Amino acid sequence: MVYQTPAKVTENIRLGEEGFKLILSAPQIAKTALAGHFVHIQVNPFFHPLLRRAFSIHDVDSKKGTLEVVFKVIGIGTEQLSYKKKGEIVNLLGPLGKIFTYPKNEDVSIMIAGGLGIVPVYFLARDLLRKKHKGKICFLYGAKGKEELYCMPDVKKLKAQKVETLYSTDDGSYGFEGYLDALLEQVLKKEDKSKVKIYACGPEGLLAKLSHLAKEENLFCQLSLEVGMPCGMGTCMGCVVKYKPECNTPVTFKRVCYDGPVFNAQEVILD
Amino acid sequence: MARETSTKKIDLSLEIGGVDFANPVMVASGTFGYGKEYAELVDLNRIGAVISKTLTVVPRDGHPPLRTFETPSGMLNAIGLHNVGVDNFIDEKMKFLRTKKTKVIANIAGSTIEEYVQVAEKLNSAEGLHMLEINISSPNVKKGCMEFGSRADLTFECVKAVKEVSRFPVMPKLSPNVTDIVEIALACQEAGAECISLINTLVGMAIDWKKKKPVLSNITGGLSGPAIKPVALAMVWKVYQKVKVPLVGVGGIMNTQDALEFFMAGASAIQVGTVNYVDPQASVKVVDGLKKYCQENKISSIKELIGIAHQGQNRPNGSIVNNSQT
Repeated sequence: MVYQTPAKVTENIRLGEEGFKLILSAPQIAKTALAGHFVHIQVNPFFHPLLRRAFSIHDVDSKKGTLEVVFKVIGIGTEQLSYKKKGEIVNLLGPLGKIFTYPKNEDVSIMIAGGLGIVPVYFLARDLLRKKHKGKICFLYGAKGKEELYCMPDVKKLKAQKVETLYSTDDGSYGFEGYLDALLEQVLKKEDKSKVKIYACGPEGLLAKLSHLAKEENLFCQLSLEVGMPCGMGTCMGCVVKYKPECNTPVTFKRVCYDGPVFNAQEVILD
Repeated sequence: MARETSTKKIDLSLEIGGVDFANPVMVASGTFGYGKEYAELVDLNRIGAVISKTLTVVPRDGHPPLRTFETPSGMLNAIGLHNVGVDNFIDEKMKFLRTKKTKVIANIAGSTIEEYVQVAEKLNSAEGLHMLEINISSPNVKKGCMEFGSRADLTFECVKAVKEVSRFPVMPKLSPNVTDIVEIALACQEAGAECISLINTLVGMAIDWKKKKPVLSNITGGLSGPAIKPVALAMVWKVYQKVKVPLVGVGGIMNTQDALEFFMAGASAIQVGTVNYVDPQASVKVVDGLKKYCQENKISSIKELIGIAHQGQNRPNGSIVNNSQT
């Protein structure tokens, strides 16, 4: 069930220079959302900006009826959201999209969170812990530099719940120096690849590398893709990704908002 | 009680080409999928007509990404007629649509006039369909569509060919990317079109200055949204002065006030498009808004407003418009 609902801002927390966490009251969505789902936010009722903005859900509190989104100011929509104060209203459509395939207890889950790509994979880790998941979870969180690891306090909470957490920064200012795919290679060496389930979200370059890796090594890997979405509900056909499920099938296009945003890394072509 | 009585008297219904629409609000092609996508959020029974995504003889995959880009008060799209194909529409999508009270209009296109004819012929078997909208105006494909809609002779040929084979009334959708839209509208009328919808999107583009290349894979796209409303309104105004068949206004309509402007410029009905992406309930809000407007202004039928802004205006030939054309 998709809901279209006004949502009150209960908190707007600054996470760094340009990072924000918005907590919104939307009980119906908070109760039904699962990891990978997103909400489509109408920032204001004046059609300026014209279109909604899509945000993966970072976490929910079903008892309080709230959900969290995390974003960085990159344009007019996110800038306006960054000014929202407690009590202000935005309009939500959600929960939208296809979710991650949750792992089984015998699986080894490796979450790869590149920058703000942390959002959907953090929700997956949180939801698994809430559901008393017993399998191993390894959480890899990377960004350009330490100051852009906006959600480090959240990741520390995961560590307290026995999730193995590793960090990487491009400039080496925190954790492993280098990209997340290099850190993943190190982690994979220690694991039985047939049991590994990789869940990732992050910059295009990272996801393209993971897609190639998944194809080469036949790994289970799901990617949450990010792209501008006019409608968010599969009607406009505007947010497609190249899709090729088998070697011998032709390339077609799938809607990121409706057929995704979570895709099997082996089935998409990311340039 | 008095208030309830006055609500009941308001008549939003209209008849075009033998089709009785419960109200003059339609959802524009390409902005509402095949109807079912939004059914959880909108009561389709309350919309005058649902117009399908453009249908072609065989399914089409459309253009590679990127296909859309937001611009100030508007958006560009170059989808490239990505659709399920006319057979799937008849066999699958119509099953759902014909369970609703809304009227169903199939938007059709082809690369050649023969393909338009083939789609129209196939749709003759579609139970529950009411009208065809002929897409002679999409700016995003190399062959067909705007290629026909930008020339009066080809427009005439295309509309006439569809008209000859179809059991449904037809509504050609006009492009604003032409020298004289009136000439194209007259060609539609002459070819037997029961009504005309206008306008489709305006050709535009955006450049990614960081990557030093066009944003859209198709280079250019069609601009829609509130940015194009004044252009659409002016074209409805001009066409209304010369053409007798009913006009269906479309282009940047976001709310009731926008819709009223189109009726006053000469539209008998309107389509809401891009706004559906932002507020899927926009169409029913316009229906409610029109009722409220009529009630507050003691108007019994929306027909009283059609072309009313022309009254007292000088026509290009020097005559003065006295009566609204209904």
